[in-house]
Amino acid sequence: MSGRDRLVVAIVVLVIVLVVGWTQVVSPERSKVSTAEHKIESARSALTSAQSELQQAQQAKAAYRTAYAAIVALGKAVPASQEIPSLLYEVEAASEHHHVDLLSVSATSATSTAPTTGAAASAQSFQQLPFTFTFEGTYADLYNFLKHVQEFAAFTPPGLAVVHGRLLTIDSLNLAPAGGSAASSGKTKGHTLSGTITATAYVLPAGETLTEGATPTAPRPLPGTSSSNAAGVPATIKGLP
Amino acid sequence: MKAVNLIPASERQQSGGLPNHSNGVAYVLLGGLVLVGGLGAAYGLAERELHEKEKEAAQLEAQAQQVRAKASGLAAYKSFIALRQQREETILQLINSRFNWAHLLAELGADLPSGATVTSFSGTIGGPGGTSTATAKTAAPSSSTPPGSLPTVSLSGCAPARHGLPQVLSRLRLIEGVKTVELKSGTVNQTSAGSGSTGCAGGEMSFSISITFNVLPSPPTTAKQVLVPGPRVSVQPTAATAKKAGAKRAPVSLSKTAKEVRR
Repeated sequence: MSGRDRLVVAIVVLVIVLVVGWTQVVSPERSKVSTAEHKIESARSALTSAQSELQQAQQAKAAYRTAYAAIVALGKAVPASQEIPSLLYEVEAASEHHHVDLLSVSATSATSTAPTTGAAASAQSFQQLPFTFTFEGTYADLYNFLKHVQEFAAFTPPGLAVVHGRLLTIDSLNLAPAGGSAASSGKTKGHTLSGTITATAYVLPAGETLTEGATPTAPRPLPGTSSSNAAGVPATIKGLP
Repeated sequence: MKAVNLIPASERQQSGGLPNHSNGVAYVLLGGLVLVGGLGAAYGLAERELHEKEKEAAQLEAQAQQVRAKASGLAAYKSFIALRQQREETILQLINSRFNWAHLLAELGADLPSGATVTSFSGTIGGPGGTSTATAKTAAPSSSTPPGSLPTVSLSGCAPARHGLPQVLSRLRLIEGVKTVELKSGTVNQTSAGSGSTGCAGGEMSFSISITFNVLPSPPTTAKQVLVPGPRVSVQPTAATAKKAGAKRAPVSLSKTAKEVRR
């Protein structure tokens, strides 16, 4: 083998060694590095997402007391059970306030409606509690009474709803001159009207409680989570009313 | 005597240079060694980088896991806030889907012309002739007066003999949200003493009118918050409110005999 041949062979061998070395050793390693970089990106993204989730959860925790108070108070508008005594009390109080005589009340059984899809029915449907009550009073008094009843839970234009009491939807209203019963209440019979109102009160869906087991200090832990949250706040505090 | 070089020409060392017995193969090998060394260095660097990156990824994953666990511990709070929003939305939808009966009474009192009286008032939501209640309830089953319901009011009363009834009809059209005002019947009371079956005075026209309102619209989604005040402040409407609302014109009066309440 001449010197030139040896040179060529050496170069070929060197090239082969380099190519094999690069493709079989260095390149896979670089590929692993690239994979690790993707892994880091993914982990970073997951971390950002988790941090955002944590931030939301912390905000939710910060707003918990307000939310609890709001939920409890919303129970005035739509309680967890029928709460007919308190409903009657509110209606009676309103009628007395406006000098309207409550003559009769009749309630029918609550009806439940199936939840549907869409924003309008995003929440589970409330149960309806229809009832009818009759009143006697003057036109102005009945007007004031109706206004008062609708303002138990009312909407104000800037985007706020104010809850004072039970949410009622009036389905029908009949007014007619009053019969003889008004005379017994001492009203001037001629100006007294008899009003029949068919209204609907609402109750939370069956199986749903007002606060869903939450206490003023902490919500009920979700199934599958520990009884004590990461912030160290016990999920339930015994002894609270 | 002449000196003879016994070294073969191909083996002779060139003057001033190094002996080159390999024809450059040695250089190639040397260069190859350097390149292999570079290859090794590249591998080493890549290995080191890989190690660091894997460590970093593991740290980030552990951190994310930790944060997730922390967030998971607070998930009940998020769930509770969502419950609040859900209830608020539903209640707002119910509030906004109601028909304002009190406002109707106030408008009725304000818009009825002087001398006209109403002897009976019957209002319903989703009555016959309108959108069927069943259809409407499919849209928003929570409400007993869902969007699409059609409020209708039937009025009976008495109007002054001359131009009274047309005036009543045109005034009723002024009520907010009224779609149609339909006269069902109008009869002049021939009895001079008044009363009779209609309760109208002699010469007055007894009427029966059906008012149809625009269908209840979908509740606006602008409501942002439910305010829940503490003890009720005295914001209840008073008799003065109604009087003020109805003071523009003669207030509506429903009575057994129109004469008793006519102003």
